[in-house]
Amino acid sequence: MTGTDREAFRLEGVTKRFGDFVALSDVSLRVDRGEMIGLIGPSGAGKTTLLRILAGMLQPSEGRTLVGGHMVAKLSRLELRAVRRATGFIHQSLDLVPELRVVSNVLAGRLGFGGLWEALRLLTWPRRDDLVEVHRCLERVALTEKMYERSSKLSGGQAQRVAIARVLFQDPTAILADEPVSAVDPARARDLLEILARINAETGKTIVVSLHAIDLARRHCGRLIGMREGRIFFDRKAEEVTDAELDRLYDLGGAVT
Amino acid sequence: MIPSVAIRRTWGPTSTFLLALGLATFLALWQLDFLGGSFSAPGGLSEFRRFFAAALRPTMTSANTGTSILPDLREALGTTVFVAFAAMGLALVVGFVFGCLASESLWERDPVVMETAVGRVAQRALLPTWLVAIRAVMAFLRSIHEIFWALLFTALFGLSLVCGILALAIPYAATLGRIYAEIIDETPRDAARAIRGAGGGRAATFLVGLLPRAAGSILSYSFYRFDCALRSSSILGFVGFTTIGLNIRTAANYDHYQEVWTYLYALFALLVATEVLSGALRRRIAAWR
Amino acid sequence: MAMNPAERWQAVRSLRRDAPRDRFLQMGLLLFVGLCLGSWLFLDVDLRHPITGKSRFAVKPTFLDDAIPFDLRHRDEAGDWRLVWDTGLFWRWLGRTVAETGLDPFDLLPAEERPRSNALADTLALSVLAIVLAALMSLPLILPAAKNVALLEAFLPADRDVSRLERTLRRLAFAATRGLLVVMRSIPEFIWAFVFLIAFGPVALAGILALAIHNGGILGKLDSECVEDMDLRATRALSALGASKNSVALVGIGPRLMPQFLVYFFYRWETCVRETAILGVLAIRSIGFHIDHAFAQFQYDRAIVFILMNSLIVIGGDLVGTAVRRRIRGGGNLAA
Repeated sequence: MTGTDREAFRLEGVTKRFGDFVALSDVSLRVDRGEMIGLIGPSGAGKTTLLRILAGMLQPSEGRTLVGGHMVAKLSRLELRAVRRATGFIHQSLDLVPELRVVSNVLAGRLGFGGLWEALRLLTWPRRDDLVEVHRCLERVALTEKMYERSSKLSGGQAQRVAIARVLFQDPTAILADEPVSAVDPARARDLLEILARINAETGKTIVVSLHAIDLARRHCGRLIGMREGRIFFDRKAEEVTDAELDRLYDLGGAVT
Repeated sequence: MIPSVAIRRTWGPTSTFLLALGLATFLALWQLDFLGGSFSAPGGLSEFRRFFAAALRPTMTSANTGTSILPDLREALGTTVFVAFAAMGLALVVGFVFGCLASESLWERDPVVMETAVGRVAQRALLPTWLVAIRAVMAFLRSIHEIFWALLFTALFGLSLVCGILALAIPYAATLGRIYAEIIDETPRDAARAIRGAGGGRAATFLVGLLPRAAGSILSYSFYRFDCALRSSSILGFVGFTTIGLNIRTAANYDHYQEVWTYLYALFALLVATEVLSGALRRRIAAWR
Repeated sequence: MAMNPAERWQAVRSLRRDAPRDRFLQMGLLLFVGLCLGSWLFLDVDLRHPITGKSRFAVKPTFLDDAIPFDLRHRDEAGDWRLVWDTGLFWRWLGRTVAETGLDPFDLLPAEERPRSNALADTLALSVLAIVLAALMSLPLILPAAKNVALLEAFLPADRDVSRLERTLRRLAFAATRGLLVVMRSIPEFIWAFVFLIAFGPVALAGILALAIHNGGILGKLDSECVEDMDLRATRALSALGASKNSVALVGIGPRLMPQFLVYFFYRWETCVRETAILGVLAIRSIGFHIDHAFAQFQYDRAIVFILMNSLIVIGGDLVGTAVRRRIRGGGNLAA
């Protein structure tokens, strides 16, 4: 149960500073494979920074990041790319290329597997098998009819689902999602989280998702991590988190001692 | 008290600019002896009247041979367009390479990759040097006007059309390169970073994450430069290449002003038509984005 | 529910077929790139002489001989020119060559040979007068060429309620202004200069007027597009205060246009510096006049010096323009 082969991510004493601003201070954390974790807390608590460090997109100022047992700081460029291929990231800003069609944006999920040639191929004449796979991924987010639509024409919720389809096409072992539902209405938000939860249940992918909507987090995530001012405020099973704790987490006036 | 406050508040960058401009204008007028009032035209009014009278009566028959100038006109226009296209072809390719190499985005480093000594030197010393160097090269190539490149090439190799094309392509490639680099660097990099976060390599990230975002502006600017290339191509005739400028100059040397106007009208029509067409394409690009 | 791969492929193909596209744009792009690259296939190049090809005038390339600085040339036994380096002589030659353009701070030329005027200063002066005149020409054309102002689209409904005659007149004026700007800018400054030179004779005014018309057309277009892109909702509140349409346009739009106006002004000024030089080919006394003259006399050594001098002021203008534009707004993309 506690063997390192079950470990997806581990942070050891991680601190991240941007200039004078301390985004994370002394955070230690372990995420096992197949978990679905909700990351909650007020704005500026360091959720995005934490996710980006887990994804190997930021280097901590102090402490160590281990992904699948590998120390990120010790990886070569190629190894780092391999680690990133195995971790999918859904950004708050989605980061689709709006000038490209949906299909190209989904195909971009696998750019980590090839070089310049693959990129040219993606833009000009993608492989038939890949297109079929893209279709399947879009089906899982119920968006097949938009496959050849231009991404700039999508609504916020549709763009969000394309971002998920891109991660599905990438087929990573873990998915990190940064505020994936902040820009969509409550009904869409529920749909999206159900999609994520189903992926977690059906494929056993590790999922870490940062959320503002606490009720959604409690309903879909097995474990909740509350963050405040760059520190972990609580970290326990979703059903064990009390309302009083949540109130304290978001209570701006209350002293945190 | 109040007036002085009011004056200080209305005195902004615009006023500074206008004052400096007025001063520069005055100095320029003085430098060119305009202040002495030497505006008079030495050519006299008779030439003026003769030239503009001919504007109303353009002719299709050559005053030298008595035959139609239509074949000459057609060939001259054809050469003009051909030189513009060929020069743009070379300039697009070279300018694109220039633009990519001179953009900071292409060389952006992954913040997580382990800092090696070589990498550090490359980032802190080599990259700024490289960017300054390639931009300086482009600035130099651009600073020599296509007419002067043409004169240089003519002196070196003779009046071959290839010289004209090269003369046009060199400064155009440099201009395109500079603007392409600016466009690429102004493109938001978030999508590119997302692709890099999914393990994409440098080339793939640049090609899929950045270039499609910059493509609209790049194409739009390329169309605009084609209009310019057509103008420059017509002018190359004035230094001896077989574009329409040569016909205009020759006819003017013989004082055949009616023929001059025929060529001028044909050139105007070509340029305005191109301008309208490329304008339509650029509007489509803007709408498509 | 579950589709097999073949069915999926059919679905993908039908989606791809129905994808929205802009055929006109696609064709235009394809044609443009095709013609640009394809034209090289039709280039009549003699592979034995790839660059000289079919020269209309068979000129013996004496360029390299004539490009040797004059004072460093010596004939060898075979009678060909040979470069014999002498640093002192080189600097003396360079100084005197530069001095011939009027830039002679060390009095290298005797007084009677000294030119009346400094060609570099003349070039700058021409470019300044040209861009100032161009800006003045463009000013009255900006608002009539901006669709939202000219056709009253940006005004309050009360202001838009004009007679049918006025509406027609406004449409006509708008079309005429647009047309005028197209004609002004699509004709190259060199051709304008050529026409004016025939008409006026070789005076600086012809060059200034030529540059001003072409650049006035470009400035008018760029600035009116800038006005069209403005969100004029705030401005039109002014007309609710009872201001007339004209004062709304002037007071409300003028100051907001100013930064972009300056950006374009300096951008075109840089181009003017560059273009002023070539008017020398038409005997307008800029540095280009010396360049053309040197080429005509096969004095390539001097031509190169003059071209480099010209490069210096063009690059100088570039640097000044870029710095000013960067100050006005952080950055300066010219891809307008």
